[in-house]
Amino acid sequence: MTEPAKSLSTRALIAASLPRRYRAEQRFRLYGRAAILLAISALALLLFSVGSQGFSTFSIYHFNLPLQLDARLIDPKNTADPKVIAKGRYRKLIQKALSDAFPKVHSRSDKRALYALSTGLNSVSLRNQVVNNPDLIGSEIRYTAPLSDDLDLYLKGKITPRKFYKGTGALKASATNKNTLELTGKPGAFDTLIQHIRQKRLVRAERLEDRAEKLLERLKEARKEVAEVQQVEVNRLKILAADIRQKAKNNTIHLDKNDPSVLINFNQGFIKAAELSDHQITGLALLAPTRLEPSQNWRSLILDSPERARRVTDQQAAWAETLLARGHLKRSFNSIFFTHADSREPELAGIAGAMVGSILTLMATMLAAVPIGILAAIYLEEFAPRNRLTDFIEVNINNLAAVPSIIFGLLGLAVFLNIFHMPRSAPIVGGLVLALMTLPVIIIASRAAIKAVPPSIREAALGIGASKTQTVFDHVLPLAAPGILTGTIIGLARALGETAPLLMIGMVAFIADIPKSLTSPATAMPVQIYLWASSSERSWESRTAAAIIILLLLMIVLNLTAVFLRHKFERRW
Amino acid sequence: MDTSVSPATQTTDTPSAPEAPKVRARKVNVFYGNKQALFDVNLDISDRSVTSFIGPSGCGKSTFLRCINRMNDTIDICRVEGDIHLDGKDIYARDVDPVILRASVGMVFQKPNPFPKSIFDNVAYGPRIHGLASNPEELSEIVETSLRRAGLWTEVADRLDEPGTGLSGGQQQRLVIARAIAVRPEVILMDEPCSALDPIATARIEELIDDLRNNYCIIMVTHSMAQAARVSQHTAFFHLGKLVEAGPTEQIFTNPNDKRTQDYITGRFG
Ligand SMILES: Nc1ncnc2c1ncn2[C@@H]1O[C@H](COP(=O)(O)OP(=O)(O)OP(=O)(O)O)[C@@H](O)[C@H]1O
Ligand SMILES: [Mg+2]
Repeated sequence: MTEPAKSLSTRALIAASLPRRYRAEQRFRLYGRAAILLAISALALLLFSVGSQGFSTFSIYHFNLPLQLDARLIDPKNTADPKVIAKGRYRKLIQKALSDAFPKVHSRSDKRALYALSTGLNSVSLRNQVVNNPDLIGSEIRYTAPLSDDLDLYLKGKITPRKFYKGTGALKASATNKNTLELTGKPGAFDTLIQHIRQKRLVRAERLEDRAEKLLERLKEARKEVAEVQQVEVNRLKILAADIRQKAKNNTIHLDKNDPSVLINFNQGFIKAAELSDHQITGLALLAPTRLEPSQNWRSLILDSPERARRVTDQQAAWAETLLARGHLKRSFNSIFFTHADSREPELAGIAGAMVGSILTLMATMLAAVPIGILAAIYLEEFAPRNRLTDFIEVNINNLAAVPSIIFGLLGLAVFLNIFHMPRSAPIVGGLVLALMTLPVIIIASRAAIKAVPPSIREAALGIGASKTQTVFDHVLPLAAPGILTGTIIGLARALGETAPLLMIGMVAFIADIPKSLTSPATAMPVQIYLWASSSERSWESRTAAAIIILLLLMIVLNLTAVFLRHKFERRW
Repeated sequence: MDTSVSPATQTTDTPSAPEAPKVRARKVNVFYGNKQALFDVNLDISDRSVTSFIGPSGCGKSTFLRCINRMNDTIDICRVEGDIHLDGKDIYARDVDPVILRASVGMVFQKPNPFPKSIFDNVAYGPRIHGLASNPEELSEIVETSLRRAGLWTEVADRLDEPGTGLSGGQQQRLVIARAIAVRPEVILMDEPCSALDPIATARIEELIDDLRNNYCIIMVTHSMAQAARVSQHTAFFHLGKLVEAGPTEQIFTNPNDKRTQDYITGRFG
């Protein structure tokens, strides 16, 4: 019969197609791996960029400065009355402590710059400290408030790199007039500095020439009138660049406003160079040296970004460096960030307010959405008759899950605030809005989980006389629980990261207190991130990143809980 | 007792029976949506005996079986017409609660479907929800006797808290039978209880059915002629949604009235 021959040819056919099938499989695996690799590298990039930005926020420079709690400024009549103590002049005390550290600062503007090292808001925490412990009055305490955020960024090297170069050979100083010093070293002592400045000038010249080139390119296509104006600009840039190149060649360099700052740290003073040659520097004493005697022990500090382009002056940098050298500044864990609510001053701003707000909001969401969502899913899946109405409801639930979240925010604004007059900015309203948004997700996930429970389990329960409700709650629900939990937690995690609807109901306000209840004004983590991200000051950048890190950690915790619960409740059948 | 006069018959006017039938079906029509699955089924089923339903696939055996404990109620599109009486009472009457009905008409399905709970809880669930035991000792007693009757006790006595789903197929089927008898039903419906089992497990279940017959009314769907002949006292043959013939097993197998029955039994179609 033909049977064996046929099976042989079948086998040959299969064998012939086999390599192709294996290749397809291999290709598929390759695509899969590539996709996973792509996803992982995107994630790594995100974590790296956020991490490198944000981690610097977790530590901060604090003062470690002796401060006299002078009774005359707190309680001159020695009343010991808390009300009097609360009205003490604590800002003045802090300013005195700073003045004591730098007694030679006299001019008003210099003083203002010095006092800017510590934000005025720090007087509040000092006052609280004294009010809580009046015995301190008259004694000397350690002032431990955070350093102003700009100086903090400076010391962390985020404003401009702080590059110290160790000096070679002895340095001799002589005063030319009141504040100007002339520093003389052995020939070539300042060569590295000069090289550095020249290098920077050449880079600057190149950049100007580049810009001129680009303008020239565009000039060809421009209209005549525009071209004329641009030609003037090109010529100006070219002259400027040539001038800079010329100046870079000089033996004696006059530092101008576009050059890096060069500070010489000599005998505990800081001299800001104005003119430098290979062995001589003339400059302004930002901090007078303790002695003018020659000293081997000197170093130079180059701040690449020119002074006018940054928020920290050379003078302030010199103060900060000196305080640091004296041990009056310490870098330590930034507990403020984890215990404070938002603040106008970055160094006093924390994520705790937003975190509590988020937790309260999420609690409200959970209380509203989880029971309703799960019960609705059970009803729709197990009890509701299949008819047009339920079909209509199903379509609508699926649609709602895809509605942009800001629409829910508008709904919340219209319904909860305008009709029910609930408080603005309150976690309860935010929670309800997010609950509306999460409900469809929970319902859909729960229905899918319930649907996945094999019907044989239902039949078994019904078959021995369990009522519908008993069947559902005793048998179906426990089996659907892992799926329901996963869906619910994913929905809640989405709610935790949601911003837009909260903006609509006013949870975007500046709130300086940690919320205490579901009705007190609050903001949420993603909104806080949004607020900080849109602030212009540099120090908010790293705080934004730090807040993102914390939000991501919270998400990870939530998702791990989902995984854990799924494993815990997972059962075979 | 097999030799007593058969109360199972197709005719409407039942001959004087020594015993009233346990289940009595009259003019039962079942529809799935627009499709009719059963046509005018009239059947009497006697207590304390095994009745088997045989017939080709799709002829409506399961459908009829599920009418007897109103399991069809759970299928939205299913509609049942006609009368089914249990002990002379209409089970489709308005005042009959299917929950109570199902407690007295137990069901064993084709595929064993233990709950994903412990062996003990599987058996104890029914008595618990019906409040059959007033204290834990009584409950354990019910569980033990049920497992004993199902012939599973010796195998699981020392692992009652292990999941029921961890048992073998045959053991699971006996567990499910134990679960069904734990609520002390009067009728037990079995839909192909042995179709997923090997011959040895099948033999055990058959033994069990034979044993249970002394106390229950057992109705069983089977595709095995041999099984029907071995365990049942009465047999009903379904074909294309119609009850073709019903009577004592011996008579159906040796001397059927209808040609279709004859053909089916001798394997000429099916
Ligand atoms: N849930 C349902 N929905 C629609 N039609 C159904 C449903 N259940 C059964 N039917 C139909 O009813 C008819 C009888 O089915 P039933 O399950 O009673 O057959 P059966 O005799 O038990 O067959 P088998 O021996 O294969 O189990 C079949 O035509 C089937 O297609
Ligand atoms: Mg069937």
